[in-house]
Amino acid sequence: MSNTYTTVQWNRQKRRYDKIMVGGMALYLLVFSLLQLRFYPNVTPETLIIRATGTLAFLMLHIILCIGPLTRLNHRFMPLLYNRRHLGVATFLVGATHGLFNLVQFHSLGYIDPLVSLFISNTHYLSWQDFPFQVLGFFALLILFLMAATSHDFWLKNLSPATWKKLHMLVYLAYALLVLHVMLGAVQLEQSLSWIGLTGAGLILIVGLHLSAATLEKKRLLAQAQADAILEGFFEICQVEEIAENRAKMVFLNGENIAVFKYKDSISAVNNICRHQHGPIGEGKIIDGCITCPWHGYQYYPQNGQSPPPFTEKLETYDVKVVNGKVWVNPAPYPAGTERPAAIF
Amino acid sequence: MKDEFYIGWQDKAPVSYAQKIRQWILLMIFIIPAVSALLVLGQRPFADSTFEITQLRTMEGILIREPIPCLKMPLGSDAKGIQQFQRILLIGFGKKSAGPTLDAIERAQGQILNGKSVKLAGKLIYVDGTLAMELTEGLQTFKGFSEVPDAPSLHLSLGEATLRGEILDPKCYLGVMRPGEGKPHRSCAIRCLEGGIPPFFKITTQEDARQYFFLLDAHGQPVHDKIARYVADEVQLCGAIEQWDDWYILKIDVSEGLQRLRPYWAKDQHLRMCNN
Repeated sequence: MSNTYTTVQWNRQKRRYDKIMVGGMALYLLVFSLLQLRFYPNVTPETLIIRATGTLAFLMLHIILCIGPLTRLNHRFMPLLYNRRHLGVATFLVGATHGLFNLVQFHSLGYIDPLVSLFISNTHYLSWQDFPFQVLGFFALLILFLMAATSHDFWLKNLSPATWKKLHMLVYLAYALLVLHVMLGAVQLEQSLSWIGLTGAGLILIVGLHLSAATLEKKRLLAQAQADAILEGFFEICQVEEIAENRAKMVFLNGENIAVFKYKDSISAVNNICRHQHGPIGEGKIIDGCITCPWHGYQYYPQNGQSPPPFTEKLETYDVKVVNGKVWVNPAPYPAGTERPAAIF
Repeated sequence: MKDEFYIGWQDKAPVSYAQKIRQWILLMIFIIPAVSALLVLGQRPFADSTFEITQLRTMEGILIREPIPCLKMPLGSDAKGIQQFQRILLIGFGKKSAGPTLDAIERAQGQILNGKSVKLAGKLIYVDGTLAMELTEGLQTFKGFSEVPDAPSLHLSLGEATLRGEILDPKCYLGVMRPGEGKPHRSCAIRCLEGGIPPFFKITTQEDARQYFFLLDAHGQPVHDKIARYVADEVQLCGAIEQWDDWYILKIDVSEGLQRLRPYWAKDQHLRMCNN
């Protein structure tokens, strides 16, 4: 975390992340190119570049979309999420190379503007089978561009985390557009089992992982819904022993997403949504006296939800009681950063 | 069990996290080449075509401007002593016909070159013995001419036929692009045909041999702008076949003799044949 903006806040893990990412991209391009030249030596350089970058960008997007649900299912995948934005920007750059070469190859050097040609050459817009698939790729690339351009924390702060998050959820629309782009373009041309199979397997993987993660989350919420005993606006949450030291239990009460932390014989409750990228604070840990978000390490004091100076992020806080070894929480939120006494047990 | 917690800005990830990521990386080292290999090996082979992109050749022959610009090059005589010719389709730079370049050359020379023996420099594009030349050098394309008289060409009427195949732009199909056919190439082919490049029709015989036809309308006039929307589709054409030297020409009535075999199930439909 930082209280100023820099282009990239490099650290050891980010450097390693990027090296592994670039290594994986290079491995793919190398294997693809060598096999292409070995089995189809009369491929043109333009076709080789278009196919290698198009398939690589699509593969990278699959990896990006797997990371979210994987970390929900197993938090040890968290290091993949930490620098996911670099993976996103790299995916856009590879996809943009694919798009640019396509625009030059198929639409330039004619009598009309290449971008105009993209939309008016194939006009079978009402045909499912003949639909101009390149247009779908264009709009997907546009979404990836918006995401890459706003991936910096400057935009996160200035757009507000909620707006930023909504914008970046468009990645699912981009993925849907790209699945259609691939199915109506390359797959329709090749009509090969491996192209159809890989596209289908990718779709099943993405949908399957998201459904699994959603099912897990739903189970957690259902279990919580059963804790419905009310005491003067307080809800019974669990036994004190059920919360590990320096860890939290996450609950949904009256529409509030709350993380209840246990530390040094005390219990405090704060809003469960990190102000950075809406990460799940309750999956974090108290380190050096601060709640630490599992996604990017943003920190907050448990008693008042404030980030340690000079940082300015704040979370809403909640009243907590411990009665007969049981933890009770009042879901009425206090304004972000309000000091509330911890419940001592 | 040790309560490990991962923070990205710390120097090292906890052991259990690092182990999981190592497993992920190993999985990726297997998956990345596997996906790459499956995609490459799942492709259809490319046409055995050639575009001599780095080689400039000078060809000499009789210049024919209409209806399909070409150079008619003498090949020698056959056993009966009849002069044989090979035609080389002339195409402009990019997705344009040879017309503007030839117009500029004629203006610069101050005379009509049609029917004269000219030397033109360009880049050859060819597949299955069918040749085209891209005129890439502007006015430098023209390397001179002579008043050698044009010898008579073979010009045969071969009757009417109903043929099924794909309309292409010859520039890309003959070798500039691989693949230069099919749906991904449709937009490019439309740009080429609307740029004035004459349309080309490919059929595949029952013996899996490819046969090519240049398309003209029923009156022998260029038809490129009228059929650009049918490229990359499987179509049925009815028309009169002629042979001009080594080229086959199919003259079609666009309003009557052209049917798109779409959607895909229409391929098996009984469609009206020529003269039925």
